[in-house]
Formats: sequence, C-alpha cells, structure tokens
Amino acid sequence: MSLLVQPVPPRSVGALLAAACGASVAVLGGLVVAGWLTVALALIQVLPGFPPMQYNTALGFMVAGAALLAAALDLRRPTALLGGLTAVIGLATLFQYVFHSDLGIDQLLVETYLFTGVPHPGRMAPNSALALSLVGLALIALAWKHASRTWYFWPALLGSIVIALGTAALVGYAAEIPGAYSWAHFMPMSVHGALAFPLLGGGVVGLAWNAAQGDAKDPLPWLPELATVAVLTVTLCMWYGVGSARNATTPRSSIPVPQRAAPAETTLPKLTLAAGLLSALLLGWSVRAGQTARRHARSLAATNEVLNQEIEVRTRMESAVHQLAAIVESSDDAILATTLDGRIMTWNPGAERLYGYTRSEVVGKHVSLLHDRTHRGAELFQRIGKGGRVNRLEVVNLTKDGRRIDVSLTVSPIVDPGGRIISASTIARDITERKLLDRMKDDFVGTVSHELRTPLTAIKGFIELVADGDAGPVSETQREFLQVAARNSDRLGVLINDLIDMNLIESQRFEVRLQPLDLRTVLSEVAATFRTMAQTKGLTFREDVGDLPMVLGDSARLVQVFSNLVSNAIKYTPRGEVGIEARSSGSGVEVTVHDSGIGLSREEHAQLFTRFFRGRSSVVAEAGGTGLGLVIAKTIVERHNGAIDVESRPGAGSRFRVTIPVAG
Amino acid sequence: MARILIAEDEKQIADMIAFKLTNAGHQVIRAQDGEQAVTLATQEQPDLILLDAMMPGISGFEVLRRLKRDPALKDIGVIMVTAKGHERDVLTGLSGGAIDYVVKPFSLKELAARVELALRRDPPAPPPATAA
Repeated sequence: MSLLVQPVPPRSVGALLAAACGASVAVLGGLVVAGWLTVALALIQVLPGFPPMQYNTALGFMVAGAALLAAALDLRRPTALLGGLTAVIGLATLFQYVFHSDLGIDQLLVETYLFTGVPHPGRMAPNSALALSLVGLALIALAWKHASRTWYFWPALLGSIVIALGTAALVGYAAEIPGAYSWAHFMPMSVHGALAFPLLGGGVVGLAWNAAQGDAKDPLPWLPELATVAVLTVTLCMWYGVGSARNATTPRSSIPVPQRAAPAETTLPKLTLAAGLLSALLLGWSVRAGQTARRHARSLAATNEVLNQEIEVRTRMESAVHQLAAIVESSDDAILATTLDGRIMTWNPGAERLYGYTRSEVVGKHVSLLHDRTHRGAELFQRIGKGGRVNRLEVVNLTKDGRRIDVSLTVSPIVDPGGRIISASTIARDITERKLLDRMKDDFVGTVSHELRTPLTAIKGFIELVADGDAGPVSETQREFLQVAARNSDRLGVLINDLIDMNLIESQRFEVRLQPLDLRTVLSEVAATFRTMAQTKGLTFREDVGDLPMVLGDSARLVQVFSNLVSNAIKYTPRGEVGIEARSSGSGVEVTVHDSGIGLSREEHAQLFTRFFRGRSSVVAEAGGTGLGLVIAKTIVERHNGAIDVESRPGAGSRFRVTIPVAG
Repeated sequence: MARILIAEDEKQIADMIAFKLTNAGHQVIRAQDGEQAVTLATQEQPDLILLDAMMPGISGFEVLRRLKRDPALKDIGVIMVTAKGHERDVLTGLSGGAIDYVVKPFSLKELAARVELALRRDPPAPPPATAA
C-alpha cells in the first residue's frame, strides 16, 4: 500500500544527491546479484584476484540503496521497511561472526561457487556487515518522524562512520594495505563495496542535515563532531591495517593481494594511530573554529549593514531637514508652527515680514495676538486637534502696528511617527491686495451695470414709444428701422446681464434658489418667447413636453438656461427646425434642445463651455451674443446638481441635453 | 383713470413712463427722490406708486418700508422699478410689500400691462413681511 504513495519530489539539492546515491548503490547491488546468477565474475570481483562481493552483500546494497532512495523521496514507511531489512541482513551476519554461529543465511539464496579460502564460504565481510547494519539503523532513524532537531544527529553519526569504513577500505586498496579492507582472516570488503559505502553514508548524512533543517547560519549541523568521528574511524581502520600488515601472520586469503614489504619500524602503527587521532581532533577543532568564525563574521557583517543603513537614513533625513528649513526660511508666505492650544513655536522670516513681529517677540506667545475679534481661533485649533485641515480660509489678521490685513490660512496637523497629532502648522498668505482688487472690481461692475442700465432703459423705452405710435404716426419703414434699434438695445441688455452674472460666478456669489418646480411652466414660457422668433426666420419649431415629475429648481434661472439654448439653436440654424423636448429619465428630468443647424466642430465642441467662446465668426457676425451664455447656463445647471452636455457634428445640427434632478 | 405716483430720479425715465401712462389715460404725479415720494404719497393718496430703488437721499426700499408702516398709505400698491435685478433685491422688494418688481431695462408695454394689472387688483393683500 505504501508503494502506492505518490513520491514527493526531493525538496533540496541534498535530497536529490541522496536519491542519486541510493539509486546508484541499488543498481550496483543489482548488477552484482545479476553477476552471481549469470556467473559474471567481472561484476562480482571487478578484477581477477580481487575479493568478491558476496551475494548477501549485493542484496544488502540493493535493499539499502532502495531504502535511501525512499528516504530521499520522503516515503517514510518504505524507508523504514527497507532500512529495517538492511539492518537485519547486516546484524544477522555480525551475529554469526560474534557468536561463532551459523544461521544458515550465508548461502541461503545462492550457493557460492567462488571460494577464496576464507572460513564461512559465502559469508558477507564483517566490515561490510557492520557498515550495512549501521546504514540500516540510520535509515530507520531517518524514517522515524521526529520533531527534535538533535534526533537527526544519530543517523548523521552512523552515516559518517559508514563513510569512514568505506573510505578506509578504499585507501587500503589504493595504498595496498590489505588490513584496511579485510578484518582478521575473514572475508575482505570488496572494492566496489568500499566504493558504495561512502555513497550510502553520504546520502544518509545529507538527509539527516536536511531533516534537521540546517538554516543559513548553520547549514551543516554537527560538522565538527561528524568529521572527528569519521577521521577517528578511518584512523582506527588504518592503524589496524598497518599493524596487521606488519604482523602478517595469518593467511587471510588465497587471493594474491599485492604484497608490500612490511615496514621495518614497529612504531609505524602507533605513529599512524597518534597522527590520526591528532588530526581527527585538529580537524574537529578547526572545523568548529571555522564555523564559529564564519558565524561571527556574518553577524558582524549584518550589524555593520544595519549601522550603515542607519547612518544613511540619518544623513538623508538631515539633508531633507536642511532642505525643508531652507524652503521655510525663504518662503514669501508666513509659516509658523503652534502647539495645539495655539502657542507659537516657530516663526519664519515670511511671518516677520507679514506681521512685523520678530521671532523672539512672538515665540511662546499665543497666536491670538494676530487675530481680530471676528477670528474663531479656538474653533480652528479644535478642528486641527481632531485631525482636520483648514484650506485657504480667508480671515483678517492684525499686524504689530495694528494694521488689518487679509490673509488666506492653510492650517494642518503635524503628526509624530506614532500617528499622534502634536502641533499645528499654519501657512498664512497675504491676500490684502487681491481682496482690494476684488472689491474694486465688484464695485466697478456693479456701478457700471447700473449706469449702463439706466440709459439703456431710456433708449429702449423711447424707441418703443415712437415705434408703437404713442408719439404720433410712423411710416412702415420708420417702424422697421426702430425695430432694428430695439433689437440691438435688447442685445445690450442681455450683454449687461451676462456680465453681471459672470461677475457673480467669479466672485462666488452666484446663487440659485431651489424650490419644487414643474419644468413645464418654465419650458412653455421659453417656447412662447421663441416660437415666433423661429417662425419669423422660417424654421419649424417643435415642442414635445409631456407630464413631468417635479424638480428642485430656480424658475427664473432655468428660464435663462433654456432661453439661451433655444436662442442659440435659432441663431445657428439657417433652415430646418429647432425643437425642445422633455421627458422623465431615471432620477431626473431630461430636457433636450436640438436644431438642424451648422453644428459644432471638434475644437468648438471642446471649448464650448469656456468663457467668451463663440461659434464661427462669419455666422456669429450676424447672430450676435456675448459668449458667456453657455458658461452661465452650465453654472446654473450645476448649481441644480444637474448636468449639461452636447452632441454635435459640423453640418448635422446640435443636441444639448440638460438633466435636472427630481424633487425629494 | 387712475392717479399714479412715479418716484424716479432719472428725469428721462420718468418722462418716458409718464408719457406712456398719460397716453394710456392716467394722471401722473412725479417725485424726484425718496423724501419727496413719501410726502407726495401722503398728500396725494395715489392709486399706485412706481418706485425706483436707487434714488438720492433715502432709497426706494426705505420709502417702501415707510409707506407700509403708515396705516394711511400701506394699502397703496407699489411696483418697484429698478436696475437692481439681483434676486435678493427682488426678494427685499416683494417681502417689503411691493406687489410687483420690474427690472431695468424693461419693455414699456410690459410695464404698462403690469400697471393695469395692479390697478385691477382687488383689495390689497397684506404684505408678507409684516405678516411674518
């Protein structure tokens, strides 16, 4: 069942290498098993005369390799089963050696046919059995799901011993020291076995490191301990190997192992041992020291990095503070900071110029010394304290010498890094001059409009008296001329009204009074005024206004809007028709004024609602108009919370659409 | 025929209105400033007063206030005739008790029509401002 478990892809390079090791060892074991079955001596011995790998050993490698592969793929149950089997094979063989018994496993599967003169034909080499047992136990330990990081030290330790056993044997083969790969007079470890054990051991150590979740600080845990144990093991093996070669009393095998002249010095094994022990200790110590040094270097570098960043931030902040200070110092506006209860904390040269107080005269004083009695300072600071802002509030301030000045105030909260409002910044701009100009302009426009209206009234009235025959009979030609004069005085009247409206809009005093209103009354008034005008010009005048919901509107202002639209439509339509329709649309009433006139080009369309825009000059010359009508119309509609737009193409007429929201 | 007081400091305008109203068969009395308007209204008891807002001395609005305060004069209809066409001016006039408000420049025909309408009007309505 466990075999059905979908293998998880190896999580890291370590696991991938372990998987590769496991797979290659399993393949090696398989090849040797095949060698035994097919009598292929090259697979069993590698070279003629070399110790063969026993059938059980090969089988053990197959199982152990598979177990390692399973462990690398994180398949715990197969790992435990195969690791257990590996351990059983190794331990059973060791048992036979230690207790001089025969469990009948040596030739259980294959009857050996390669006799090498060692006792127990077919039995696995004792060092192989030991290494295999250790691999098996290590794999079981790996399969054991364990939370503790230290648990994985044990498989790593066993793995490092296995590496050492294999390595010692390989060194023995290379340096021709048989004692390093054959123990006592028993079966020696084969050369390919000696190659396979470091792979198995390495794989186990790698997986143990993986499982211990070595972090960036300590990617290879317990390295000093493992290295020391491995070197110690190799040392012991070599010491034994060198010693036994010198004594060479026992005929270990009939295989002609390359014999080397025994070293004359009897101290060699001891030297080997001493040097090995020393180097093991030195290695362990130096690796530990190296790791510690690297850790220190890393933490030092990290500290350095943090310090550097802090310095950089501070430098940047300081230069930003300098820049801001320079801006504040050079500003033409008065810039001051106050506490939340209005005490002045900072005071820039702009403030000195505007108010006449020097910095030392006002810092610490209450900002109300600048206020005239209408200023609601306390209310303002309350608003700032609650996180509000004051934008361009126009107030009257007092200077040191008692002058009253108009200033525009922008006050905003100053917030500390914790988000607390700690003080208020105020920017005061002198607008005395602008205010004066505004007032002069308003007065001027007011006077001019009045002064214009009075003579205009007289002109208009007397023309009318004459034209109507109140002052005696007039000829048809005279009447016609008087009507031209009357029309032009009407145009002057519209112009004056537009100028006054525009002035109100610009000084933000333009007002509409919204009341429940039936747009039909507005539209019928407009239609009544303009129907005749359209028909006189030979245009068809269409009116399509049904029942409408009440809107909120200013009747006089809306008459002004639609009069403007309809008179424009008539003006700019040489032939065809103009019309006005109204219908209920969603939450508003939609009024459309359309014509079949000259229409608007794209550019005209874009600036239609801007001041003093007028249509093409040739047409305008005869049509007249101030160019303010649509701006005023748009303002009126917007004050009704409505919208105005236009669809038009040159030559295809125009369609102005006004939407006014319904009441309630 | 009715007796109409025209309070207007601009002589030509006064002439023009007077001409039209005389042609229409009414009798016209003329005042050139606010004080005179109040005096003539008291003396002559006209049927209707056309009152300009901007006059030397006391303004038309002040004249309106005084007329409406005087029990003997408060029932005389007043039409404001003025260049002050702001909505708030119109409202001041109407809430002050004027029965109509004509903004300059106006059409004489229209003014004449409004005068006829005002003269036909039934017993004068109480001015809204004093009622409030």
